Formats: sequence, C-alpha cells, structure tokens
Amino acid sequence: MNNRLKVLRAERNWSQAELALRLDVSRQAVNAIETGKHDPSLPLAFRIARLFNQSIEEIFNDGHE
Amino acid sequence: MMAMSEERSVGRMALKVVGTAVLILVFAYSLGVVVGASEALLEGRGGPARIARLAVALVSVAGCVWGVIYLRPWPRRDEPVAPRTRKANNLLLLSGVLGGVIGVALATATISMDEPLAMFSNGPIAPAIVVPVLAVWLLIVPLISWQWHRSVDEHEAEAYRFGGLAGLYLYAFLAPAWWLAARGGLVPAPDTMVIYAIVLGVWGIGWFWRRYR
Repeated sequence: MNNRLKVLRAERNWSQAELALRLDVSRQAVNAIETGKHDPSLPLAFRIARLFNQSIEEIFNDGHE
Repeated sequence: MMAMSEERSVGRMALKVVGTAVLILVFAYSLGVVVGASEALLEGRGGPARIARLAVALVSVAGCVWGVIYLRPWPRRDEPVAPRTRKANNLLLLSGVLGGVIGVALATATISMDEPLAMFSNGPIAPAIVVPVLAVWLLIVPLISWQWHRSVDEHEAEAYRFGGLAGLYLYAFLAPAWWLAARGGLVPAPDTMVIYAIVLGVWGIGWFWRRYR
C-alpha cells in the first residue's frame, strides 16, 4: 500500500523517532509503514489520520483509484 | 536525505542487536568458565590447561563487555522513544539479563565436566542450581513475556507472530521426521534440546527479519 507519511512528516520537519513518539509506536514501525513493508491496522491508521488532520484515504492509497 | 539515513540506521540497529545477542551468549558462557575454573584453582585442582582456560575466558569476558559498549545497542540519548516502546525494550533487556544469569549458572554448574560445551549437554546438574533456574524460567520469564506482549506495538507483534509461525511449521516437520528417521535406524534418537534450539533460532531469525528488513 502506498502512503504519504514520509512527505507529511518531512513537511513538519519531524524525524521518524518524533513521529513514532506521537503515535506511541517504535521507530522501526514508522520506518516499515513509510517504506510499505507494514500496513497499519485500522486503529493506527486512524491515529495517523487524526495526527495529520487528514482522512485515511488522503494518506493511504491501495492503488485501486 | 534525513529519511534515507534513518532507513539505513534501522539496518545498523539490526546489526547491533544481533551482535549484542551473540556477545551476551558468549559473555554468559565465558563468565561461567571464569567462575568454575577459579573455583577449581582455589580448591587446588589447577593445572596449566585450566589456567589457560581461565585466561582465555577472562579475555573473552572483557572483550564481550567492550563489544557491547562499542556497539551501543540502545537508542541515542537525543532520540525520543514512545513510552510503550521503552517499556518493551526494558523488558527485553531484563529477559536478556535473566538469560545471562541462567547461562552463567548452567556454565558454572557444568564446568567440572571438563568439556568445553558441557553446558549444552544432557549431563546431570546439581538440584541446587536446577531449582532456582526452573523457578526463574517458569515463574518470572512468563510474567515478563506477558508484560512484553502487552507493551509491543503492532509492527513488532506481527514480526513476532511471523517468526512464531515459521518456528511452529519447522517443529511440525522436524520433530516427526527425526523421530521416524530414528525408528528407521537412520539417525540417533531425537534430542529435545537440539530441536528446541533449532526452532527457537528460526523463530528468532523470522522475528528479527520482519522487524528490521
């Protein structure tokens, strides 16, 4: 699944560790989501969406559009 | 640029964790040799071979300590860590320390066998060592494991499940295959601890690979 997490993070000048702290996950988890190696669960996707004040669809794209 | 270097640093952290795990194992074994050989020397059961073994073990212990300090397998001080991740890391560290203590206890208890790898054999061990080790293994380690599972994030939990499934499949094929081959006279009788070590090794590799790939 594609996502804009890295872009959104860079816009705020956050490191992976800072984003991980805000999401209460490990830095490895943020890295895995950004690189498409881990698809977040719905609860985590909602946390990410709320943090960036965007909808889940604006951040994540399953490639079917 | 920052993101690229952070991706690389995840790989570096993976190498540090593997290196540290190996060093802890070697440290536990070497410390056991130091304790056992010192005990033997103090009791007047010394000899050139035992003195040489003690010297090598001391160098090994010092090398392991230096190695862990050199690798620094912990997050940088200026790097923020989420509370649940910190708790999970601390619990993992605690279980590593307990593993080291158990390793030292077993190495010390089996040093008199005068075999370099007696610790991993099926030879007898004094009940005074076995009972406390069993108490730690059956009462404390499960509690730590339970707390750890409550603390990890979903990415780590998924990595752990992947490794566990790989280990379970390996066990499901390896154990009966060995048992059957032994009944056919092709191989020696199955060794529980060898199977355990192989399964746990695959489990760990799978977990580690999914977490840091």
